Amino acid sequence: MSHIRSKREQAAAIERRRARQKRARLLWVAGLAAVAAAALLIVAGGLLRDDGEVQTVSAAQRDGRVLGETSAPVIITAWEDFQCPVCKAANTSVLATIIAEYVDTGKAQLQYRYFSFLGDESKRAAEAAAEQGKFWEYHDALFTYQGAENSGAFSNDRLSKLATLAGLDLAQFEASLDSGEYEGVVEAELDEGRDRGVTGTPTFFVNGERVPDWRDLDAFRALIDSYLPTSS
Amino acid sequence: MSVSAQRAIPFVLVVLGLAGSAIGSYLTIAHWGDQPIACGGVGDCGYVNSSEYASVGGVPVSALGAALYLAMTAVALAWARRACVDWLPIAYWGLALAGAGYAGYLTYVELAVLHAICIWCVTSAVLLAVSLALSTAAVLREPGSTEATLDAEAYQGRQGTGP
Repeated sequence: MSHIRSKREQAAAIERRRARQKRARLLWVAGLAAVAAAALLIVAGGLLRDDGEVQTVSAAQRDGRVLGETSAPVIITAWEDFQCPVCKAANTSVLATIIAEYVDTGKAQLQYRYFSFLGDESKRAAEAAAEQGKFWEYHDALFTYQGAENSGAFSNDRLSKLATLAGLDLAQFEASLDSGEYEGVVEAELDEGRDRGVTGTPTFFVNGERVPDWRDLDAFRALIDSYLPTSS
Repeated sequence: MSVSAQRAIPFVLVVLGLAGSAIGSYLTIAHWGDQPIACGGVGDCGYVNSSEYASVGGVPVSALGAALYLAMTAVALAWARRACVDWLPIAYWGLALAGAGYAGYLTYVELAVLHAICIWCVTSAVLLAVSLALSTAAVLREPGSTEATLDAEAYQGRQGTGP
């Protein structure tokens, strides 16, 4: 009897060992497949990565901080802060419509002015971009990747990253930014805005006349139309 | 680990998988619909999810995550129903390992490259880490031990309540 029991125990031990070996093989296969899948995703992400998606405000002619034809009869002035979420909302809603209807068609030009009440880093960076003739490309990148107010979204690292996205010469951009040469421009424009009665952003003027409520698209249009030559 | 704890693991993993699927689906809908992401004032979800690291070949990473969580949930459900099938915990462990590894890389990208955190992404990474820890505990047990212990408990029960 003990001989039969011993045989059974041996067979059971062999069976358990085989099961453990099979399980170990399965674990190795699953583990290696998992590591390979994660590595494949990381490598594929690097190979297929395109630049971040920047939402372009307009393809109209650009001249420094002027969008559209500089000979256009109506001048729309936008006082904005790149950190202001309402400015971003305006750029993707009412202002986008105004640009499409008046700036892209050559009836008006849009002049961008800094009203820097949420920190001036992004405005100085925009000036550095303007020096390379790419203010509007940088403007679009800043608003696309705006982030929360004063969240560090416009840290120097991020501003440089956005400069790359906007197609700027990074070395020149960083040198301009480090020099601090644009602080005066940004501060002077803030003072000028206050002198003109700007108290918040965004604030728009049409040929010097303040737009009472920029969210009212029809009123905005009517104000622009009132300054257009009748033949337009 | 007690037998009841071992048997509870797949059910816990189903709950974690459903939570992860919900997060992945929400971020995917926001990504494709170009909608703002509710970030609860923590981090910068919009920036992270519109960055160049947020998609692979045009497919949002959040969609990949949602698909992974659905697969993990399906395997965990099968595991919960058929506790004696040894390869189900191992399959789940493989999925969790792949997910946690990739989530670890994405968390590194958030901290070291983007300098921005997406609270939903961090939550998802934590869910994957917990899923990996639980499934590791399950696969490290002796094969067949749950069933053997259950059989022994059932036998003792019969002995105790018998005539």
